[in-house]
Amino acid sequence: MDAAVQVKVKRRKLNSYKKAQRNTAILFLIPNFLGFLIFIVYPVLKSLYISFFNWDGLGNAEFIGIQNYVRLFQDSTFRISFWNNIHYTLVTVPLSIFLGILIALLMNTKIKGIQVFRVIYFLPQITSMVAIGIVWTTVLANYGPVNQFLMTFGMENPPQWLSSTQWALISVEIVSIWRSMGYNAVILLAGLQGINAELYEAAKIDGAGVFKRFTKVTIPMLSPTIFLCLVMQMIGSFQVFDTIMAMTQGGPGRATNVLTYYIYQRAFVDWRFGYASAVAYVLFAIILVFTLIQFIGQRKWVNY
Amino acid sequence: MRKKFAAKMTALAMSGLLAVSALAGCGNSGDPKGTTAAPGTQSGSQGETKGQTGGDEEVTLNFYAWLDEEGIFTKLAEAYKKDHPNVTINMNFVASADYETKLITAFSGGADIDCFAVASPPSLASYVAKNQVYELDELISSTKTDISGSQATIDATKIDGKIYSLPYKTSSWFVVYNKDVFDAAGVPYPDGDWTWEEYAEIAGKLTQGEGADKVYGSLNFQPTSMWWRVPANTKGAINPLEEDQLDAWLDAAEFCKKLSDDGYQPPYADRAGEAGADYTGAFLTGKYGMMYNGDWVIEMLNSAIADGEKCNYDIAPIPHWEGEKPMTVGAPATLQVAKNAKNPEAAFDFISFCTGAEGAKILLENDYFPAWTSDAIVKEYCEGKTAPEHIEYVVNQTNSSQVPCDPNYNTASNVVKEEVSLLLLGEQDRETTKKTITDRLASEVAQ
Amino acid sequence: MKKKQVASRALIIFLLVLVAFIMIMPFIWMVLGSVKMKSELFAVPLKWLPETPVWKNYTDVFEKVPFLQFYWNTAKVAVLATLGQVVTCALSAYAFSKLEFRGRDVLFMFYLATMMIPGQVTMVPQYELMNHLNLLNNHWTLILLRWFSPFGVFLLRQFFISIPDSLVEAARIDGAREVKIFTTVICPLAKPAFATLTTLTFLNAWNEFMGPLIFLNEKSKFTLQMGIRYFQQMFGTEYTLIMASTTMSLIPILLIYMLAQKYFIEGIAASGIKG
Repeated sequence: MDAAVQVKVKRRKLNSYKKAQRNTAILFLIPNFLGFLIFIVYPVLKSLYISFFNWDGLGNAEFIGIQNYVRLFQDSTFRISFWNNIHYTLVTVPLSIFLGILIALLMNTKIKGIQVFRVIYFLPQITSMVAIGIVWTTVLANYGPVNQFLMTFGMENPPQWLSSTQWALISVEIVSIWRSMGYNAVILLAGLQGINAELYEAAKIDGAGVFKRFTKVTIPMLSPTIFLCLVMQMIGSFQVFDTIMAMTQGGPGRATNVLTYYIYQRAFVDWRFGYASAVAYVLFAIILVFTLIQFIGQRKWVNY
Repeated sequence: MRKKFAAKMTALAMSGLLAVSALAGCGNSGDPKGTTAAPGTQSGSQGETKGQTGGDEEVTLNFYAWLDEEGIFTKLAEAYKKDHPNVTINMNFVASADYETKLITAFSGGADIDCFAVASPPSLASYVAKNQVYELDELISSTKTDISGSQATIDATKIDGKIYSLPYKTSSWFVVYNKDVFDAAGVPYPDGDWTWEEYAEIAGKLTQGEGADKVYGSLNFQPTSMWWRVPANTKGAINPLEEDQLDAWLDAAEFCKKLSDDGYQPPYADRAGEAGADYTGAFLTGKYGMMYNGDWVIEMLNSAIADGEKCNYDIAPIPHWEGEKPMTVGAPATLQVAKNAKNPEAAFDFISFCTGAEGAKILLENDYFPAWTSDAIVKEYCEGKTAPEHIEYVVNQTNSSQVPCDPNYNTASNVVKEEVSLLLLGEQDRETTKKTITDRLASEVAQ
Repeated sequence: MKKKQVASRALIIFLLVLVAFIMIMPFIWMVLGSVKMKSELFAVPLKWLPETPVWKNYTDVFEKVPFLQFYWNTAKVAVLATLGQVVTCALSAYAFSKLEFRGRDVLFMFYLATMMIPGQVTMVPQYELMNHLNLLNNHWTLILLRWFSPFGVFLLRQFFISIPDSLVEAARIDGAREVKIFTTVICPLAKPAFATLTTLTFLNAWNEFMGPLIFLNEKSKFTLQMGIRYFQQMFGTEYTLIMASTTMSLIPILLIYMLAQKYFIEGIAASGIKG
């Protein structure tokens, strides 16, 4: 066999191998993909279509091009919701992941009774946000347990958590972190458990200390999971709704109004479905940009 | 084609208009899903017996209301079905906070809706503006439905001179007071004509003590409702989209703020964050002298007392402003037939039953104050309650509508609620509040 | 050395307890609140303990709402939704992580992108779709919507990626078919991921509120979260009953989690992922 033929055969083999992989891939993808197209993609595209209309949700639709998109930038409530949302994302995402890692590490220690702690840490995640949000409003009430606690420690004027513009957003952020750090911790714990113990042994033999093992073994091996948490948290933080609905309804004033709450009000109070959809797509663009940044950034730090 | 025609004819026949026995057995169109054909349908032949829908053709009605009303509409439907065994009513109840969301989604998504309830006239106006409500004038006159018992409320909820809804209950505001707090302060009970200024003065006299034991003269409640506007309502200012009325609303907000600033009422901030939603719970602690509230509170207090809470309360008329005539406000809750109802005649028959004299009797038995009134009903309502002593104030104050039939009201009042909450918290002065409201109304309310 | 170990152990335990306290405090408040009188809940000064526990709040919940029926409905939806999601998403995730084909990453980004559209605007089109498919007022609506979740695909893909390609390659060289590689190589190794996805999906389905609200009409089909909503009415919120019903909605899921975490996490730790 001469060289040219050899290459040809090799290429054909490679081609058929690729083809086989593609066909297998299709088989693996199809069950999920079909349902995904019908139940997820169709509604998403339909809402994109609606965003170019002045539509009250009930038939009378009028095509207005990109007017909805132009109008929203002139709306002061949109601007306020946007900045509140950025604040919320920048505070909750890093903190809930950082604390999530710490809790996952704590949960990964071999201490008697650790199972009890694992259950307790996951409690916030088990409850629905709507229900626990209502409980939190009573916990953070001006004469509620939190302020009672602060006052016994000598604080004379504890914060008015939910009833001042200064604290309301921070309160919502605290509750969000309280809830999501356990969630992150559980995902991260699964990641931690997946790290091959031999890697630690090897590092130990190489004389790496606790801290070094953490930065050189744990973090790199955990990085795909951290990345997952980061992306999910970020998307979630831009779509925060239940917390706001249950705790503040955007108030006081517009201090805790965020983008999805804004969208909800425009759609279901004002009946401006076209406009609401346009805001949703601006939100989509924002999230997409943040996600792309992370996907590009991941090459620097995520270890696959 | 023929079927459609038959459907129309059957429907007409059912409302007792036509007796077209020739069509017997033709249609099963009354059923929205078209699945069940009534055997031996004799539409129209029984039209006369009741003077209403009397046909024994199977009819299914899809009815929507919010959860608070589950008990009453279940009972109304049962009573209705006794005389109309051919009618099946699918009841859809949704938590009140989510009711509009669900209803709008259902309308948008093309669900089968035949009739539905709304809690206040602005919502009615929204659905009318969106062309979702069946106009009733013709049906009322053709079926000779008696609406005299609630004529005044019906007139108040007409839109462009047309009737789109029938009211089933109304509400009215008054002052609830804790007798023990009055006794402790040696202040005589309020009874009869009084002004808001006097309310504030009495609140001051009732206020006693400091810190945790403090007794407040007046109780305010949650920021998600707009209770603070009631004083403005009592002089007819009900629509913040009118500038002079907006001024009156801001006066009312400042009146409430002053009560708090003087220490006669808890600071607004203390009631914020949903904790204020449990005003009955707060009132039951016995640390508040008065609150202004509506007829619903009587049932709430009475059932809490039955459960073992202690509260010695009575009610007084709502105050008025110096120089104005005494008047309370209230909002009717109404029933509508959906524009795209499969069987508007049958739906109308059901809602006219609920809102008519027979429905009123059932509403009354269940502690509702029906929109359909007569001297006998008023008397029975008052005699049916053990507490409060002066129950008659629920029904004998001059009552005017608390909310306008304006489709933009809900959007506008949301804006006002947000901005006034800052005023009440002392974070924004009146000038800024008014300016922000005016600016936002101009840009956010659909033209 | 020994001293240092004791100290670090003490520090870990201190942190564990501190975090546990923060996590559990609102729940203690809730459980105590669920047996208080209305007037006690917002009493000033605050009362931690009720004078006499009001167990009636619990019986009231059952009187006002068919809570058992709601338990059953919720469990049914949550179990079926979780099973389907784990299966379809695992298959897709395998394709996205271990098979090569053109447009793979673009398609994956497309999956991710759909997660970025808030549900508030897809709700109406979804409702319309379900109406066309005659699936309104049907538990299958809620179940189907979860089966094809992009989140599940994303989560499993991230875990599958961290399984070394060499294992898959080795199996391929041995002549194993992809289905076999998936079931015998990937699935056993991805147990923690499956445990995680199962737990999270089950929880989300259990606690879902908007979906049941929009798609279900009949009371006999309602889920727990809608049951809790019964006590937030137009003219006031019954906090004590909300707390009682929330506590009750938590109990079964807490039990399941306690069993599951023992079975899953420990099982994983024991069997190890060394293979």
